[in-house]
Order: sequence, then structure tokens, then C-alpha cells
Amino acid sequence: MASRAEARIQNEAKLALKRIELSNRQFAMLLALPVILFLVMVMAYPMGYAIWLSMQEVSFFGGFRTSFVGIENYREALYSDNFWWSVRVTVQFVSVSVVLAMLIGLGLALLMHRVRRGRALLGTIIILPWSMSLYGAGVMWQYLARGQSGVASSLINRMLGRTTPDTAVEYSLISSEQIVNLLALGNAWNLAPLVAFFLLANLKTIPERLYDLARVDRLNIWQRFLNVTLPPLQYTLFVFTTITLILSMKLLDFIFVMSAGGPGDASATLTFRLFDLAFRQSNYGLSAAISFYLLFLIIGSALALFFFWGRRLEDT
Amino acid sequence: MSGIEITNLRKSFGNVKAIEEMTLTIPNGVFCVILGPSGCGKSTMLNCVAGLEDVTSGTIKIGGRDVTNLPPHARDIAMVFQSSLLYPHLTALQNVRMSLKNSDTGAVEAKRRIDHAVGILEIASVLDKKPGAMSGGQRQRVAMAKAIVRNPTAFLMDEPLAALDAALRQSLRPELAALQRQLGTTTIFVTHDQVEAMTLGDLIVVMNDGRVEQIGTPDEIYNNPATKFVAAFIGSPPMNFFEGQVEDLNNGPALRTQYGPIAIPRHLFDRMGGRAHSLGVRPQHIDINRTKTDGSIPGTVFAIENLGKESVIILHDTAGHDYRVLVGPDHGYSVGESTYMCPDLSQAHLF
Repeated sequence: MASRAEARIQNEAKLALKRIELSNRQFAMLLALPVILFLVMVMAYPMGYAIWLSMQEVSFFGGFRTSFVGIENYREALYSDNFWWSVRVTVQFVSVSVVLAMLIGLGLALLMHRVRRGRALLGTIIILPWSMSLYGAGVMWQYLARGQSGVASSLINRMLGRTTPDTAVEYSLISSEQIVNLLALGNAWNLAPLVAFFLLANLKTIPERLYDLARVDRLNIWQRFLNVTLPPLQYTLFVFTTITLILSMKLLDFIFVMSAGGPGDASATLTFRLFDLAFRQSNYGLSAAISFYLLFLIIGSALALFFFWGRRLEDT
Repeated sequence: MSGIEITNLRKSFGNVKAIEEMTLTIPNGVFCVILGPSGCGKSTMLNCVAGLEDVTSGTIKIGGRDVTNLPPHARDIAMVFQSSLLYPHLTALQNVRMSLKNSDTGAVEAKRRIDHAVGILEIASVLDKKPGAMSGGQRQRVAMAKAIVRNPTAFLMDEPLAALDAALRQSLRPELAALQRQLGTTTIFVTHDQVEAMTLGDLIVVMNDGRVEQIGTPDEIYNNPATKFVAAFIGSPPMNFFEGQVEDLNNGPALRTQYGPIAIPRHLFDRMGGRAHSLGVRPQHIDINRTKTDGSIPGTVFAIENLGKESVIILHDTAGHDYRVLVGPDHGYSVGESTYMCPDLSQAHLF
């Protein structure tokens, strides 16, 4: 009798265990559930509204009215020169931003890694641009780049020896053909510090002896960089290329403050274009449609980065 | 052709003297082990020989050529680093190739050497693996292959076995020794492990605090330690020391201890005279008894380490000093017992 009772107790214990046993994946899902629910609640309505809006013609004359136009807004965007111009500007702005952010970040990381004295102070100075709001950064860069009091005017006048008010000319970087690159530089200036600190963490993991091995193997400076310094940075470089790419594509405030898409629409990225369409021209439908093209561009380029680069890193 | 000649080598980092003064001649083909505790300057010395550190003064010759001011790659050496360091993102084969990448070796000759090294070290099956996917032993073999393809005048090894587990270390030791004999390449091997030093070295250099304590064969180092440091560092369990003052008494020289005098053989006394103050005796050269005899030293059994075929009895004297005595398995002692130690003075050392 006793043994049967024991068996029953054991059996029940086993069942109880079975009931609460979760796989790692299930446990992870459980942990993520609240935030997923929250995101769905917060995202679903604006997303749904934007989809609806992108298929409406919105008019304000004679009261707010909307009429269903199907994919007309999407079609209109594709036939618009302005749209394609903005795509071009966005691609240029994002490419230059990402390349500069990664290069400056890597440079700063190597600098911080090498410097021995005053390291804390250097780190503080380097992180400052990142801690600045993009709006504030926009104001500052605009001050630097504009005519009259801007750095560009001052430098050109100084180089040509025009030091009196009547000889000085006004040269504004803001209204030059370099405006997109200049915006990208400002954006990279803001993003690079974060990249630098993450890369620095990677650099710290490289055994010093590996540099000695490279010396015994007679590697030149470039080979040493490729074979010793770069390999442990690859994953961080990929992650931050993706992050800076996405951040740059959806950037508005900095551009809005610094160049306002100008001169003309020389620096009108997709974000600026759709902001302009919606809140200045009240063309909500077209703006919403373009916002989805931007979303596709973001998702598409992030996936492409993963496909051509990130995927290959996983086995190392 | 001579192997490696180091003359009056000094190395300081600012005010810190890493190597006070070192003169060492390693004949061609000899396996020389630099042994010492961490921080004794042995790795610095190896770095100087490799050219990874500049010397403060002194000269280094490798194969008869003065290399003191040459960069590492021009010194005709190959180096194996701690934990058998390899480029982590390269496969075994690429790692081995890296040794010859920037050398003047032609493609045909490079291939011949690599094939040869791969054959000797039996690493054909791991050539496509990256270091992260290899076992510690495989990494060690690849690092050796990477070294021998350079066909160097000297091998420099910085504790290559240190990160391996004990069993693997034990199996790799004789292989390494055999490989070195087969190649006949002069080798400097740095370690803090006295067992590695005793089993691998033709010549052992014991270092402490940036100074050379003794240079000699394993036998010389073990049987005739030049200093108390060497005596204490070499041998496991370590040598015991009885402290006191050596004096020439009426009935012959003796070490005056707090437990009474211990007579000392005349030949030991003649060498050291009255300067000595400790008597060193290895654990296998002490007898212990339960009864007091003339010249015996009292000690209480503190712990017993059973090693199977023998046991180590650890005794404490009243001052709390440790003494280790090696006894047979049937010693019959138990912890807390009072005993008396009788050192075999014919095997003793004075310091």
C-alpha cells in the first residue's frame, strides 16, 4: 500500500514539474510578452491610421473630408520628380553619414585606446557631441556654416586677405552644393562618439601579445590592422553600421534646424519631404504613402546589410 | 656555430630594474629553460632576445650574429607565445602561412616547409579550423608548426603550455622535447613550472628578482643548489630549512637552533663558514621518530597528504614553521601526534 501511495506522490510531482517546465524559447517569449503587447498597443493604431491615410485624398476646403483613392498616392509618388530627388538625397546623406560615423568612430576609438595620459578627460570630451540634442547640434552647425559669421566665410576671407568689412564677402556653406555632405558630417559628428566607445570596448579585448606576434611575423601596419585590430571589431562595426543607417534615414530634426531642406530642395531628404508635404502643404495622403516607401527603404537596406555582411559574421 | 650569447644584459622600465644583469651562453642546439616565479624578469628577458623590448644595455647574439638592435623579424627567431597564441580569425593553415607571408621564402619552398611541418606535427586534420574550434593541444601543435616553418636559428617559447590542463601538459612535454631534439634548434623556454624545467631543459637558468640565481643542468640545480632560493624553488615537495646560527663548537661545527645544536659535516662548514644560517634538507632525507634522539627536532603532525605510493607528513614546530617529510605508505602517524625529525646530514645543504 505504502509503495503505491509513494508512486502516486511521485507521479503527481512529475506532472507538476511537467506543467511548469518551459523551453528557453518559451521562457524568452514569456519575458518579452509584456513589451510586445505594449508595442502592439502603441504602434498598431498610428500604423493602421497611416496605412488608411496613405490611401485617402484629404481635403480641407469646406470642412475636413477624405475620400478613398486606393494606391493613387503611392503611384503619384513614383511619378514625382521630387520624390526621386529626395530618394537620391537620402541615399547620399545616409551613405556619407554612415561611412563618416564609422570612420570617425574607429579613429576616436583607436585614439582613446592608444592614449595613456589624460584618458578620462579625453573620453569625456569625445562623448560630449553624442550627449547633445540634435536640435541643439543643428543650431550650432547652422551658425558655423552660414554666411557672414560662419566659419566658411571667415576662412575664405582670411585666406584671400580680405580682413576689412568692405572687402569681406559672404560665403555660406549652407547654400552650397556641399550641403548634403555637410549635413552628413554633422550627423556623423553626433553619432561617432557612441560608435567609438563600443569599438573601444572591443579593442580592449585584443591580447597585447597578438601585436607582438604580428611583429615577429613582420606584418606591415596595414596587415596588422587587418589581421589583429579589425577582426574583433567586425561584429560591432556591422551592428553600428545598421544602427547609424537606420538613425540617419529617419533623421529629421537636425536637417530641419540646419538647412530646412534647402537651399531650394537641395537637402530635402525623404523625412524632410514627407514632413513638408504633411505639415506645410497638408498633403497627408501623399506624405503617408512616402512614409511607407521610407519604411521599405529602411527595412530593405537593413536586411541587405544583414544578408551581405551580418550573416557571414555569425560563424566566427 | 654558437647558439645564443647574452652578455651583460640589463633592462629597466623607468626606475624599475626588470633585469639587473645577465650573462648567458646557450650552446647550439641546447634546450634552455628559464625558470622563475612571476615577475622575476624571465618574460622580459625573452622579449629582449626576441626584439620585442629594447635592451637598456648589453648585447645579444643569435647564431654568432649581433642582433641587439635588429627588429624581431630580422633576428632569425620563431616565437611561441603563452596559450599558443594564434590569429583568431584565421584558419590553422592561414596562421602557419602568416609566418612566411612577408619573408623572402619562395612559394615552392614555403609549400615544402609547410607540408613538412604539417606532417611532423600531425595537424593535417585541423588545417581548415580556426583557433576557437581547436582543442588546446591542437592549438599548441599549430603554434609549433607556425614556428618551425620559419626554419629559425632559435625558438623562443613563453610558457606555451601554461594554459593547458595538467594531463595534456604531461603528454605534450615529451613531444616538445623530442621535436626539439629532432630539429636540433637552440631553444629558450620560459616557465614558472619547475617540473617543466626539470623535464625539458638541457640547461636551466633560475631567475629571481631580475637576477640569475643559478645556471646548470637539471641535476646540478637539484643536487647542488647555489642559493637558498634555488633550493626552495626546485623540488616537490619543497626543501625544508632549519634556521639558526652556525658555529664551530668543541665537538665540531653545528647549527645552533632553539632546540639545541645540530651537528654539521665538516665539508659543508668549510665551504660556508660562519656566514650560514639555515640548513636545507629535502623531504626524503628526513626520518621521523616518536622518540627523541640526539640532535632531533620536535614537530607536531599538522597534516598528512597521501600520494598513494608515499605520503607527505607536514609538521609544525613550536614557532609554526612548516616541515615536509616524505615517508612510505605504512607510516602509521596521525594528525596531532608529537614526533622528532632526524635530518640526514650527509644530504644537507647550508645557506
